[in-house]
Amino acid sequence: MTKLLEVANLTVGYGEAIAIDDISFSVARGEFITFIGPNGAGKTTLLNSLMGVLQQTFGTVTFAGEDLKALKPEARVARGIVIVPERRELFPGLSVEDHLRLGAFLRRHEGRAKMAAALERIYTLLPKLKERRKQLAGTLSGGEQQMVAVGRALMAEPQLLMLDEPSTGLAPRITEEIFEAIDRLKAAGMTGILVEQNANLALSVAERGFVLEVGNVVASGEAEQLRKDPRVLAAYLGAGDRYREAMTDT
Amino acid sequence: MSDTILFLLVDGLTNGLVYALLALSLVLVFTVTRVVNIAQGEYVMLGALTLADLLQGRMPGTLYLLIGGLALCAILDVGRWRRDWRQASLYTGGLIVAGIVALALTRGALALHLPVIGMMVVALILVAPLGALIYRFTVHPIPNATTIVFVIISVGVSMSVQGLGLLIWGANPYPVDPIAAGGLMMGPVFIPYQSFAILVTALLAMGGLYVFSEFTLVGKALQASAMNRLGAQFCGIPVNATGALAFLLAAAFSAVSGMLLAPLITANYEMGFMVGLKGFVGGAMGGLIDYPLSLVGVMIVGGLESTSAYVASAYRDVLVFSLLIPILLWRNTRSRVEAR
Amino acid sequence: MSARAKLALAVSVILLAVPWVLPSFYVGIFAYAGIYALVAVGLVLLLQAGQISLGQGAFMGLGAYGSALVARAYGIDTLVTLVLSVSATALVAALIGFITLRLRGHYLPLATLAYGIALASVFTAWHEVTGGASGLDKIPPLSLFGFALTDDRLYTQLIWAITLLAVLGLSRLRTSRTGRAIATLEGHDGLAQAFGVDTTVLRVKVFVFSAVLAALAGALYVHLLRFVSPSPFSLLTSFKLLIMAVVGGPMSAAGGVLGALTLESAQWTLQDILARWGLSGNLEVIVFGVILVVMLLKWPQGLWPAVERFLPKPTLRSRAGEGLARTALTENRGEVLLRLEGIGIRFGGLQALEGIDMELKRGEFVGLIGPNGAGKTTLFSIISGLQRQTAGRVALFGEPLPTGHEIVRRGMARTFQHVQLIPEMSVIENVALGAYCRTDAGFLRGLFALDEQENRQALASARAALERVGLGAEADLAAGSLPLGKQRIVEIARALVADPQILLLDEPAAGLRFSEKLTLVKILRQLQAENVTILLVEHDMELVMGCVERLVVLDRGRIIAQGSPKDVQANPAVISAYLGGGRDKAA
Repeated sequence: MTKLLEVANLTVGYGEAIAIDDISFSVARGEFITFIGPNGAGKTTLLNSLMGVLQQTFGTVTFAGEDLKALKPEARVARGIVIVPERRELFPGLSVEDHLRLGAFLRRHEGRAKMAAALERIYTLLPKLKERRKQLAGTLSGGEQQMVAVGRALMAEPQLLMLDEPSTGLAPRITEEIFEAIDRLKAAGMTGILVEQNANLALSVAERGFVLEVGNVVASGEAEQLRKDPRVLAAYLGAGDRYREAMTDT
Repeated sequence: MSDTILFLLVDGLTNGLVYALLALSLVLVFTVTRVVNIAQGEYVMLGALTLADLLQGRMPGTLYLLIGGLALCAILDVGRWRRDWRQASLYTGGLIVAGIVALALTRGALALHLPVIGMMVVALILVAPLGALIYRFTVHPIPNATTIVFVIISVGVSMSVQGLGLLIWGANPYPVDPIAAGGLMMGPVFIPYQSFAILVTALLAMGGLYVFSEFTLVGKALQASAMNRLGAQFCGIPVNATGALAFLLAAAFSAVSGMLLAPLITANYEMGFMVGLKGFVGGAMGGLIDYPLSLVGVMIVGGLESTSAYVASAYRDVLVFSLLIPILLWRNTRSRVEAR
Repeated sequence: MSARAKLALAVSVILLAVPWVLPSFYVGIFAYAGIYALVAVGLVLLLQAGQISLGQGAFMGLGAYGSALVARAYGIDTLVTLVLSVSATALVAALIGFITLRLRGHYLPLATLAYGIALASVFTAWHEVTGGASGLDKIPPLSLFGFALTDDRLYTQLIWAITLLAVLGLSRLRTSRTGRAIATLEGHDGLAQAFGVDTTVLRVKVFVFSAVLAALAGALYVHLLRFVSPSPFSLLTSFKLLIMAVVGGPMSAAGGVLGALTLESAQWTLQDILARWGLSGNLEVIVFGVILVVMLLKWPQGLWPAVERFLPKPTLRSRAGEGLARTALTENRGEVLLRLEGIGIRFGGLQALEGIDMELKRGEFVGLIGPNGAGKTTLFSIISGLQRQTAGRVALFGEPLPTGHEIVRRGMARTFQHVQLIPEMSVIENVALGAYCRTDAGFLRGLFALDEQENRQALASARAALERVGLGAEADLAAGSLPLGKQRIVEIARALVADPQILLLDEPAAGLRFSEKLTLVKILRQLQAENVTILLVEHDMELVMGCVERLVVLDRGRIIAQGSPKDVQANPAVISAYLGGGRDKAA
């Protein structure tokens, strides 16, 4: 399998702090990998830096052989890197269908028939969106907004789909629907990076995973293995030993 | 008595519609770029005086402003040549072509002695791009500056453009022909054809903007970048270009309003300021973000203005501006509730 | 006398001597520069408080017309009319301020524009009294105790003397208790409230003061010219003043003077040069406009910061001796300090929190944790008074939780998730803000330097707090220059200066490296040993488990577990909440 995305020595600063500390990984075409870890681990920062949104980014990111270096987010979308952001970043005054059409903004010259076909595909994948196609995004529920964000990203026909904590704030049933959609995308050959706080959910979809803790990868491997790895639990709930030792000195 | 009221209504409506185009421009610019454009009135002046020149058979000074601006644009982009010379040469080439086209168009229009409407189109083509150029020089370099810096910068732009206007056209007023002279009697009131022209243009402009925003993808993209810049970037929408487009459209609307207004009042280098201020008051009633409310605002301004025969003009100003404060308070509370 | 003070004195002497050195034509220009500078200095204070005003010209007009008309009509001594006029303007400003200062964002400048024009229009409209657009002459000159000031040079000296005094007073204010509070008004509303600043009242005070300076300038103008008309007080003047303030540099009062001098001299020099080259005067305006745009693109912070780099540093205010008295914290471990009963909050259709019952006892070190979206931040903001719950009660020391700026006076201080330090202010001054609720020197005392002892005590307390947390050496560095870890500790020092019984910490470890977190934990343990009660919200589990006594775990708006770290770590409900439920179908 060819490597679609190669990340080498990625370090991202955030003001004075270091949010991502020298991470390297790659994603092959057709693969779905995941980054899990507790809040504040740097997962969202990772995806935002891959989208070109952040300033203090160091290291090399190569996509389909091209160094992404200083490319603006719009240019990355044009190359097929698309994100479903953590906060969804929707347009409250525009309708569901508007969002989907705008997702295909860069493909608007391909003609009406192609646009209609693309819309149909999304509506088949996420039927709830078809029911609410004319509804304004600002009036949708959290789960529906998440679906709009996913649908909008898919309309760009991405080569690499990045999902930032898709299950946040959603009821279990809606989360189920969204992850079923992700399953179907995977089956169709989509390459993806999934960032999630819900470790079990993430590891049920991805093939490979990385555990992030305050900007560092503390464990990685095949999804099956990671599920049973005690380091995952430790990353989330901590053991407290490092600090306890330090404090007995005082 | 009812005759006078009717007359006042028509007069107020006409005034209001002209200022409406200006308010529209201000709201468009603010919603897409967050810039409070104090200099918006200057495009009114540029539109009117460019048209005056064309109608008198002269090459308008605006053409040289445009060419100068395009040249400055090319110079500012010199840095790009080192990074990507192919793109840079395309860009510079495009600017040069634009300049040549403008020149040719103006020459052609003058030679053909086009009617008023034709000359208006040419004047529009000369003035509207100036808006995009101003965006490029003043907003594009510092997109994250604070509101107040943009306010001061737009004051600087206003001063420079007004000064340039004085330089190019001098202090004298210029006559501008209406689209069609004369008018007709509707009942007891005489309505000049120009007023119909104003009505039609204003409606077309507002309608056009509405159709553009609601029914074209680019129009939606403009709305999107105003509502959520980051979200728009994630769709691949070039947010810098949308800013320039907003400025260009705003300049176009303002220029048209100037061209329509000029036959009714004197057209000189100072006219931009007063018209700009009135449109501003109307726009401010909508908090600079609400189109329908700003239209209501300009109607109020226009209506109050036409009562100048009955109320001393200065007190009328006091009234209009004092009215603005409770409206702003009301809008402020509403937007805070909506934000929650 | 410090180097800087000597420099300031020298510059002042020069400025006061200038009227005697200039040819008489230029004396007038210099006088106007001084008048504009006086208004600009007040406008700079407004800008520091985050308020843009396009109405200063109107306040100038009120001061001018008030004094001129009364003196002309009734022959009253002009010193008296000046004082009366300025006072009247202050009242009008207070009224306008209370109405409009609640406006936020771009609405406020629009409102200032509105009343600026409205007031200026009254000058023209009420022509029976004001003489309308053509104005009134025969305005009596300024007379100080019987001595009529008709000598332009002397008058100009007076103007500049007043302006320089204003700069002195405002520079003094900046390093005082009120000055520190004013620095929080722009963009740090939550910070201001959390340390006891009544932001509405302070904003009005700042607004009234700048109106007073404008009115004074207007009155001085009109008694110099001996003629009053509406045109100098128009919107254009307000714009000009704003430009002076922004170009000069809104960071410091001296910026106002710099801006006024720069703009006025630029204008006249430009006219001169262009006339010499035989070019028309119109070009001046164009060049001016272009220069303005270019200057702001290059120096969005104004000229003063660029100038200040070459000046000697200002003297630091004394922080010697004893700090403010501290309350001794008892060891009564059973006492309940904070009680939450049935707390719930609803946003639209979403029930973000429900049925929260918890207690905070004296001397406890409690951690509030939960997965993302659990409602920790919301609960924390209810406890710290930023949000109101829709159900249930919060009791602090047995009484209902007060709102906003009263909380810190009851003994509860906090730090912030996103560090809220004023980056340009020194560390010790940032920390001294914590003493705001324990001191009372107001605006005037700060202006007239009548607060020396109290200020010294506040700074001494700040110094002591910094030493307590190990940052004594960094006291005079700019807060923005410290690394994030130290900034967070400065926030803790600031909270300590408020002499709290309860310390609320909002994600204090976010973004810190391990060594910094270690320092943090040591400080927290130390505080706990001194009987400070601590409530902590945090995501770093390692850290929380390692130093906290008791945990409260939230998930989806409810408490799912409470207990010691060991118990909570083993609790299956907690594990499932963090790792997430799996999926019913096989992957």
